[in-house]
Amino acid sequence: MPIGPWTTPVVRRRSHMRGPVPSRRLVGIASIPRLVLAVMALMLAARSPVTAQDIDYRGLEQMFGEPVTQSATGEPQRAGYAPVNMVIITQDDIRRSGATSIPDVLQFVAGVDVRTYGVADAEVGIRGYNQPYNPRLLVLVNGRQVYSDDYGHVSWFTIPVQMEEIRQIEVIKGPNSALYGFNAVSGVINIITYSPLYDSINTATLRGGTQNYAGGSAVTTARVGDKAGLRLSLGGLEASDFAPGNLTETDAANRRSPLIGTFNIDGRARITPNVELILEGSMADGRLAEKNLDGAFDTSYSRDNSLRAEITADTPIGVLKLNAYRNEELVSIGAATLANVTASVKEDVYVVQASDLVKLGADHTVRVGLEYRDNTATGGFVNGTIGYQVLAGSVMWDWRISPELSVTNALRVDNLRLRYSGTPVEGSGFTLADYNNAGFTVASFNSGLVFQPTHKDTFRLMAARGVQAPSLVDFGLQIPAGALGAAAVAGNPDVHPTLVYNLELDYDREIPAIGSTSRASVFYQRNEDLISEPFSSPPVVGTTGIPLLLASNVGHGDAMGAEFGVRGHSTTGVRWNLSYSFVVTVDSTTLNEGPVSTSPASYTDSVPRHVVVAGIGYTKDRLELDLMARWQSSYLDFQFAGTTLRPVEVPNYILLNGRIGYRLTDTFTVAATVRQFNISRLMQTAGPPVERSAIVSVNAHF
Amino acid sequence: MKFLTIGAVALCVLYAAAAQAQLTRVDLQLVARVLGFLEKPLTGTVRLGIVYIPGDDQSVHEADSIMTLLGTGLSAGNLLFAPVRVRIDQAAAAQVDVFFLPEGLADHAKQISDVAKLRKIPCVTLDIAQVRNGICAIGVRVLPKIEIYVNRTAAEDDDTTFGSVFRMMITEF
Repeated sequence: MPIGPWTTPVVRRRSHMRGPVPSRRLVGIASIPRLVLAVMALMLAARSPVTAQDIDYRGLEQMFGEPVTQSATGEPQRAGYAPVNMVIITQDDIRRSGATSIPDVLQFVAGVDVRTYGVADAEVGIRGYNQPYNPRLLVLVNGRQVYSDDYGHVSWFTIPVQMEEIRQIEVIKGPNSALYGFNAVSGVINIITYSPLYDSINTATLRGGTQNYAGGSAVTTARVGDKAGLRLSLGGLEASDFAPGNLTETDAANRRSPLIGTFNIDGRARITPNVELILEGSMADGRLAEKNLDGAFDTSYSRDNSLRAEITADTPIGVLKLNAYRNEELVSIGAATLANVTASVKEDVYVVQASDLVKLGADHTVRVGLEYRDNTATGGFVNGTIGYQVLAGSVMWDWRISPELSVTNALRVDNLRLRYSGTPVEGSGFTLADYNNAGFTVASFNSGLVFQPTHKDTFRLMAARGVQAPSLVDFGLQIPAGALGAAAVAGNPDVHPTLVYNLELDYDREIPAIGSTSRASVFYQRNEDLISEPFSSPPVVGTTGIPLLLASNVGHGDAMGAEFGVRGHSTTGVRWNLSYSFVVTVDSTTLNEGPVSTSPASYTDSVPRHVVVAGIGYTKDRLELDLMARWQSSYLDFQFAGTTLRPVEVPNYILLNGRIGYRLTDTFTVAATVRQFNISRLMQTAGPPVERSAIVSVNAHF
Repeated sequence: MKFLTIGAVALCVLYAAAAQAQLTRVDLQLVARVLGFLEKPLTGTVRLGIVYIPGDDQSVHEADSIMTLLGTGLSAGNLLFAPVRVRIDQAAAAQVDVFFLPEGLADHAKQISDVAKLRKIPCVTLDIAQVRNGICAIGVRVLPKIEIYVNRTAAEDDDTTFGSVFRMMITEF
């Protein structure tokens, strides 16, 4: 796959959310794969020939000969002009990778760290600071957040998007809070789907393989002239999870094999030539084994629903956009060790965003934005309802000083107000008033200079300050002493946001002689006021004399690194990519200072310092062959060993994947993908060893 | 003298050949895609008026080359270019949808600017200087890198307007 240089405060420790699994949910999960098959059958029976138009991502991409993006600044740009370090993974890249999930794709991007804890459990980090329930990464689907506000965590396998409907995955490395707000500190991953207004996608895929893997997906679009379009997609999978390896008996017993189904509907209409409306809804049911932030395993049962509406108008005063969405998540956790904790939670987040993007004169583009956010989490783990409201204002100014030089500056100010109704845990010392008077106002910025002295050379100099807000669990967890151990565990209304400063220089060079593009990047990052979720915090003595684990700011960390890469292709059908990334993280925190580890967040050691990614592929007529490789140096992970965390060194490893695809007819393609064909069982984390897998797929494209 | 004449003719031929080499079907395909992003996008069969100066051998030759390049028509994006040769002194009456200004018209191009403004017909060229000077509204360049230029004043005069998103991705004068 030619992906080269460019292109949970404590658990989500949802482990405190155990409980019986509602039977209706299991029925829901089980019914979705059948639904997939039924829709596939319908699609096979009735083709819907729809002609795509030329005014959209695709049209612009074809015109400029390179991908386009809005993810860097909110302004539509050619990828090469974006003032960020961005890698764009195209649908062709995704298909050739043979990946069945987004983490599988990201595993071969330089600077991205993927930990595979199970068939349907992975954590993704960018440039260090990866950990279970990683709260530092903002993940979006068409601009809608798909991370949960409880831990700031992403459940990658229940994102309601099928691999075949993704136009491109945009990976931004480094903070981008000035555009997106909280969580966009390590980076941003924006998943862009095909638009039913402009694209015609009708496809169905069936997959089967080792680990008893059975899955499928279907995507269809339909249009009414050029005025309206509809995209429907659904998919599901069932598989047996990896053998437990050296997991404790409890962990092994807590894991159940994954069963996932997702559905999405996306309707778009051009109300007038200058006004477009989007209505989108999704649903995902998932049962999946996951590693919690404390290093233990459990099984999460979740249902995620979303609704989104967006209206855009091209007016004399600019492009006016109003975007509003609601995410709802219902989660319960199955784990025998959590018998004393209420193990279900309901979360809601409402977001309203308004913006005006206008080009002033020939050289200036300005974007002003307002955002309102309201989230809540209700459940026994917070002993009530915790939430916060955010009001934010932002401005972006892109000044094209000359055809060769442009400067972009963006500033955003967020005001967060916490609210809580419930009973603070005994011993924390906090009162209801402490929670309801808490909050902060914080500013973030992004500045980028892009200089293109020749058509082959691009330099980018970037400076940023990002903001990671405490999660709802950081603010409001309430576990009384005796429920999970001798200590009480509590959130902290006074915890500060983490501030992330980033300075980076990139150099891109086109090498037409070999059809390639290269990139070199160096960066330095400073993280102030790192947040420890409650379970990992150094124990203190509570007001009633009991031990207390309290979310807190635990110090600072520094990261520095470099990335070098080249990717290219020839007219003979050969493509290649090679990259090397290097990152060193040094933290100065109060975590794990005692004789026993309390936190899995040992930032200094928890990132592989050296990673090499390589790929080579070949297309000849109907045949596609691709080989992908990743080598990474050792790093430190943690395993929950009964009552304590045990540091586990994960040795350096090499991972080899391969895919062969053959287009039988214009409609049908068969493909076989073998992941990790070089070794049958590979220790990639402190979790169960990852097993070699082989997946065969049949795809029909109408 | 004979050698000088032969040399001059050879230079003219080479110059004409070089000028012809500058324009390719890829250039015209880019022009077609750009016209698809007009607020009132051009679709279907579009009559592309190739402007030339009668009596100017270089201009005539260049127009001939472009006509040959287009043949009976060139399809790109959502439109089909149908080439029409247009005498510069008869442009006001030409039955075309778009004016294409070959390079080398120099000061004569002003006549087309006036006609385009009067008849609200888009003007396209590869001669970026003509765009910068406000003679022609749209300029494109494929090599070494795809670039699109629009003169805002000329575009407003010709009623050749683009949506905001497109404008943010191009170079405007």
